[in-house]
Amino acid sequence: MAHASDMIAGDIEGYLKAHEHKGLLRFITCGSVDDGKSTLIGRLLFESKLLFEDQLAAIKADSKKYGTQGEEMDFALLVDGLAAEREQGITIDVAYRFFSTDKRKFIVADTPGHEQYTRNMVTGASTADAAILMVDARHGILTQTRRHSFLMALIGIRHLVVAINKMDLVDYSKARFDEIVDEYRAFAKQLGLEDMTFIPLSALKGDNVIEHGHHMPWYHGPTLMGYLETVEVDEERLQHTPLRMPVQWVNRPNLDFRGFTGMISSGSVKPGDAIRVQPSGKTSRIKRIYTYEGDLEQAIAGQSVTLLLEDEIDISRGDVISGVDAPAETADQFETTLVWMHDQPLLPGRPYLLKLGTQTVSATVSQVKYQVNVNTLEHTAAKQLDLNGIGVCTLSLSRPVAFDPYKENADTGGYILIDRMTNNTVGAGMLHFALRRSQNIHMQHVDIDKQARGIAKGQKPAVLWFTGLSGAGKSTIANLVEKKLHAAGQHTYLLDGDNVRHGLNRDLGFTDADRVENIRRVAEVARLMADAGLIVLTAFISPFRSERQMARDLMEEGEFIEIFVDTPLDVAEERDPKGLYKKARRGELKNFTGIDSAYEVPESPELHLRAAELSTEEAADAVIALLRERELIACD
Amino acid sequence: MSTKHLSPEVLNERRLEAVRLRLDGHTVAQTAARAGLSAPTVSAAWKAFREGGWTAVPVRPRGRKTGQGGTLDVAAQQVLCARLTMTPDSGEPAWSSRGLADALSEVGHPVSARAIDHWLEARDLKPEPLALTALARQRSSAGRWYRQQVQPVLEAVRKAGGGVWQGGVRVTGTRSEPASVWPRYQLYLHGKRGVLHTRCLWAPPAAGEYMALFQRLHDLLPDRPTALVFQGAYFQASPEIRRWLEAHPDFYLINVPPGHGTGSTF
Amino acid sequence: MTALTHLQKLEAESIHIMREVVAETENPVMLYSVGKDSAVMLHLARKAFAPAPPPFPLLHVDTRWKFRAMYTFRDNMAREMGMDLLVHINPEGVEKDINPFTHGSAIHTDVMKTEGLKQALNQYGFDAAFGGARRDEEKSRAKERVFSFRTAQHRWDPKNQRPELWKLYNTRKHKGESIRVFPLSNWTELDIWQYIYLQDIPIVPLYYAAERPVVERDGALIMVDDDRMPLKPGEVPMMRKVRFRTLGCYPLTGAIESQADTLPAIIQEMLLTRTSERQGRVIDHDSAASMEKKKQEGYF
Repeated sequence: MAHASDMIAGDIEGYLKAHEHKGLLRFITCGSVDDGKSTLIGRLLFESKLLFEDQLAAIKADSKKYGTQGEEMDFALLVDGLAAEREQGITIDVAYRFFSTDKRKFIVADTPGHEQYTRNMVTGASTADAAILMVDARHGILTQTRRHSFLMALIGIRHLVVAINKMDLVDYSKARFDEIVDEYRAFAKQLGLEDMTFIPLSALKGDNVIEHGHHMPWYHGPTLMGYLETVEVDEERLQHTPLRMPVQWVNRPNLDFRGFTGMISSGSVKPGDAIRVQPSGKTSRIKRIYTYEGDLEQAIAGQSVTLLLEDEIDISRGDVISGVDAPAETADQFETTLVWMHDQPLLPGRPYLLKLGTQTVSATVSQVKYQVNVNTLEHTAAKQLDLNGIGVCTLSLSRPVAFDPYKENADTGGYILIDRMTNNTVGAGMLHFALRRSQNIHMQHVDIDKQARGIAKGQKPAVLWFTGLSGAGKSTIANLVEKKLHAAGQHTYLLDGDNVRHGLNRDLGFTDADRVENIRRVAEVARLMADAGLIVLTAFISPFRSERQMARDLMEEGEFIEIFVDTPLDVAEERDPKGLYKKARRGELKNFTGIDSAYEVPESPELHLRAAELSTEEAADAVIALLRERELIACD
Repeated sequence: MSTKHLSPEVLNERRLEAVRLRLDGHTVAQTAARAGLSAPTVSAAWKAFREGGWTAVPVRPRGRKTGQGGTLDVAAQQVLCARLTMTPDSGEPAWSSRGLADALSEVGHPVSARAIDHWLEARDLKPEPLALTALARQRSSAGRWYRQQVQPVLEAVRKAGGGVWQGGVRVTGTRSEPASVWPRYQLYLHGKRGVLHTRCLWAPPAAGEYMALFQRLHDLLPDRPTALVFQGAYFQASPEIRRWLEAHPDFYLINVPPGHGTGSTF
Repeated sequence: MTALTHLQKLEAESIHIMREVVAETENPVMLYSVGKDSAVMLHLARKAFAPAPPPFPLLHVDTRWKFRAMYTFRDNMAREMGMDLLVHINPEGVEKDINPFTHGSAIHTDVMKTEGLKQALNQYGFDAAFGGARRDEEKSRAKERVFSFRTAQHRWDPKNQRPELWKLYNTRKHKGESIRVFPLSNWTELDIWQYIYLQDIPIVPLYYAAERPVVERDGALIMVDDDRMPLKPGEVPMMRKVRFRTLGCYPLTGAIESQADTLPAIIQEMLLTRTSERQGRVIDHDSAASMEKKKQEGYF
């Protein structure tokens, strides 16, 4: 822009001053190359970056191809790679482009518009304050438009611009524009979209992009740039909602300073404000808001700060500091919409890791209630979700977390799912509400805790998890260990297939899903017992690594002792104490571990017993020795 | 000493200097010698000061404005350009406007020295000499450098009747013209009365070219010392030049430190 | 309520990223290249972890051919920040005396920088490394993520990379894998300069224009930083007022002619000329032969 160049040339300090106070807007463009999206982005980049010699020369030279009067330049050439991406195959990429005017800096998220890029579009939209939906004036509202609108509504984009492009090809007709607007409004009602702006434009000719131009005198709304420079940024809205700060890292440089660092996700905070920490429920007041430049009198959403509190309460990474009157909720079961992002489909019942804010917990999708067709918005029944699938599900976590419904706060309501084996991010979801029985339960801070109970018993609680093939000797060894501990005056309990399968887990069989549930229940019971201060022994085949890991994650650091009772299959089969191997070999028993169901060997158990080479006595002693070494029981 | 060939800026600077020297109590003759002006000019400047104060001392630019003189024709320009890239036969260290005028006349293009002077100025080939005498009074590090490193040498050389030169190497005309059209590297010298001697090169001058230049300067007064205050070259990196200087102890090469020069390598 | 400026938001985002890395990785390190982006990244690290110094060391993978001014600046900076400075030089490179003149820039960079970095990461067992790269540096970087996952052999496998939604970063990795983290991903060149200006961040003096001894090599102006720079027979470097837009190995880094000796002047020049940062070429300098030809043709 000529006037900007003049100021830069003439008064650079003045220019810098003027640009100190620019805001930042992130937006996403939805559409395809055919809609003129690249031309539009290219024009925005071109017009608001200052003219730069080499790129200007490049597009001028290439524009000769168009055989026009030489007035028009091919702006799409500034935005490369979108077409090439299609050829290179589908990736998870989102392209981020930057430009700036004197009002704002802009970050544009750009992805191809095809259905296979749904996960990319969701990713790019997750950080956007606004979305531009491209519509070709000749074609009007298409399936693609509906799909993009649905995704934007899903991700919670509050400000939508429907850019009706190529108006030059429909004679700049107001009638056509109105037709499209009406059609869209009718459709948008279903999605609950409220703030929509419709702009008729020609990215090629430039009308209504930066300036109004004179082809559409009937249009009195904002130009696209005018809109982008003034639309509300999401953080501004969030400043007025209750305080939320997920704690990232505890800063303890010396004994006198204990600061909780994080980015304020919503609301504002001042020294003296009363706060509540979720999920523990403990309260305190803000003593100081520390930053490198000095203490702040107030901090608002979007700032990364360090909070110091009046009281010494137990806070760690993952906790959410909330306002005392409107704290985050805590729950461990939710209804959620999940977008699946990986080739390997979602398996209900399988434990994944969930990351919400700064909390990472084990989670399972208990059920897919229905899947949503992104193009028609129809609901269909589904047992699983495939790549780019979107479904409404029930989510179950291993412990309660602090959260808000997604539409109130994306940081405390939006999460990703991580595959525990491959570490890939496999899904992204939005929490809608907690499911009944766990809703609205603030954990009352309880005074008698596990530690106190353990001390009363003269031991530290632990879970000794014996795992191995059927007939390996788990129960035998565990029994002996329990006897020895009892003789030493320790308080223990043994959970064994026998005492559990006929009662608590009577309803379960031996399918993979049932095994998973079996172990889950056992782990939860073990946890409750450990909480009561007991040393719990469990003797289950527990063949799957991820389930054993889940059990481990339920316990506190150092409490879970995995004991691999390593007896080779042939030895165990020979023993066959219950005659089960024979039956399995005969085909009378299906899903038998070692025969037609896998046993996943523990990779780093706390204790590896080569049971075939040890006597039961020796094995039990090894376990006791380990407990002494780890100071879980007293040495005598 | 005629001051006709001095630019108005240099002339005025020297006039002001002369007034200061007279205020310090120097005689007209002493002032003339130190300021590089003729005695009548010193008296005129002094008179102007007594009558009108400091503002009356500088003279207005004289003569026609630059570019108003007759321009040279294309053929003459071609000859000029060609000559500038060569060393003069006359033994002069480089081309003065006078020298170029003579050379042109010899090949049938009679042009005045003044016209050539204007032409050089128009093509950014007339750099200003470093205002050394002004530095004498400055409190800056440049002033200190001058007083400690330069002034004693120049005075000694002048006293011994030797030659004092200023000069430098620079790059001319930049962004507006593609490099390949011009020999963009300019060697220039300012001698007595600030007369410009110059040469243009297609590549930065090499050690050989510098040594040839130094030799020419030296040979103008073979039995006397010569001082050259030079900016724009990094002679430290050249062993050949170091050796030449060691072999010619009566040639004093003073490098202008970075930041103290006119900085106009553009 | 006040609104945050774009630099405040960028700053908060970068600090957030750095804190996530420290919270979720075991042994992070900050790659320090002594350039302007490193300067900003270091300043942000200071803010993120104040009042203590940042809980990770600085790593400079040295090729031995950096500008002397960079070495001086680097050492001062580390001392001032109170951080450990690890300097790694590829020992095989030293043994074979790998340098840009004998081996050319491709091999020199590959051995001293690329291999050197891998060696250093392996030697110290770093599982996360901060780098100062930005998305606007090159067209190919527009799609880069903030967290880039590397195998134990430091290779980039597209299957290992994760989508980044909201402010969530999946930092989980297998033993031996490592992460490169780019906290300046959303910063542009102009943002960096504006931030340096507003925050008064010290940068290597070479960014400012000053008279420096330079020679021309293949159309670029190369500074004669020390006596290792091979000169042609009889070559005398010229003192020209130049500055550097990027800093690297001095024989491979072209200077540009400039009068910009203050930050606003640098920014002004950058905004007005606007050629991409990685291009450091001066106007082409034809060989003497073709110029002779032009002279003869009477063009001149």
